[in-house]
Amino acid sequence: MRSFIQPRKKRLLDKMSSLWLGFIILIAIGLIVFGILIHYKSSFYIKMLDNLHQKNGTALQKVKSLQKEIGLITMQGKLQQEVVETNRVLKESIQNMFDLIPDQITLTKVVMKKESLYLKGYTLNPESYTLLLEPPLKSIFTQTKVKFSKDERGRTVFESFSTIADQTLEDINASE
Amino acid sequence: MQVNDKTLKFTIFMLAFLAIVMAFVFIFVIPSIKEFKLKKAEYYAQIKEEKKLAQKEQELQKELEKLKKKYSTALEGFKQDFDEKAFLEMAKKYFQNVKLTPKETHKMESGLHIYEFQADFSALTPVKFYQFIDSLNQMKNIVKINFPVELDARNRTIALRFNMSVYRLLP
Repeated sequence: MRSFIQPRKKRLLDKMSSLWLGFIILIAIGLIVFGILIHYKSSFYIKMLDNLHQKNGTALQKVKSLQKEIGLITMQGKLQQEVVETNRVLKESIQNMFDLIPDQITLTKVVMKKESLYLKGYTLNPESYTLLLEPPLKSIFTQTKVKFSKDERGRTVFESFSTIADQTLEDINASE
Repeated sequence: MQVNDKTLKFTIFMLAFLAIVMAFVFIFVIPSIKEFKLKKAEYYAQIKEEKKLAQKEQELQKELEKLKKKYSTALEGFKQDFDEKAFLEMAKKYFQNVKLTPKETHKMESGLHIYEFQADFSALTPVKFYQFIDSLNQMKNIVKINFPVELDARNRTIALRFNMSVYRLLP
């Protein structure tokens, strides 16, 4: 058997296969382009993020330094107020202490501590001290102890120690 | 037979197509989208943080200015160098004999320096001591008188002894 027509050149891929292949390549290219686009967008955000991280880092440092400065200023302000208040209280304590001393009593030494008061001086007699100075001292302090003696000129010398803590006259003498 | 060939080809191409699409989607597209979403969310979080920090900075700046105004005297006081001679000159207005003995210096982490002194003064009346304390609070330096305060009668004067602290802030 012989054919009367010359055989056509056989295509590598038939029409349908070419269509399929083209379609697959097209879709693959589409997906790659989509992926690249997304990746490009991500890179944009990454770049922006780098700048933002840097900017926010600087801002955070600034905030921290401001907080530190505020803390320091507040500390100074409060400390100054505390100092003024302490000086005022000290002045009032000394004023109040002198207000307690009656005319019959002459002071020769005063040691004023935060929680105690040591007084030494002359009194007309022990009764004057007991009547005039002891009651106000007892109203302020929790403990008041007194010692009487005579000096070389025969005057009555008193030594009193008053405290709001558990201390004795010997304690203050020892601390001196 | 020809129909069967076409069906087989169609099935093969369809499977190949699905396999390639799936491969591209899982290997290339999904991770990219995930990363994109993550970076986008992080970006907006940072934008939010930026606004928050700017607002905080503004608030703190305002507070700082307010505090600087409120405590201007104190701030000036902590900056002042302690001039011992000038201090003794001022003390002479109230006392006869004035002597200041430097003791310890405490240095804090914050830069605060506390200079301790022992003061030995003599006055004619306790009133002078009250006046001196009042004038201390008007001084440029921050000076605190500490307990114990000792008053000793000597002849016609009162010998005063007390410790005092001078505060200074050094950078």
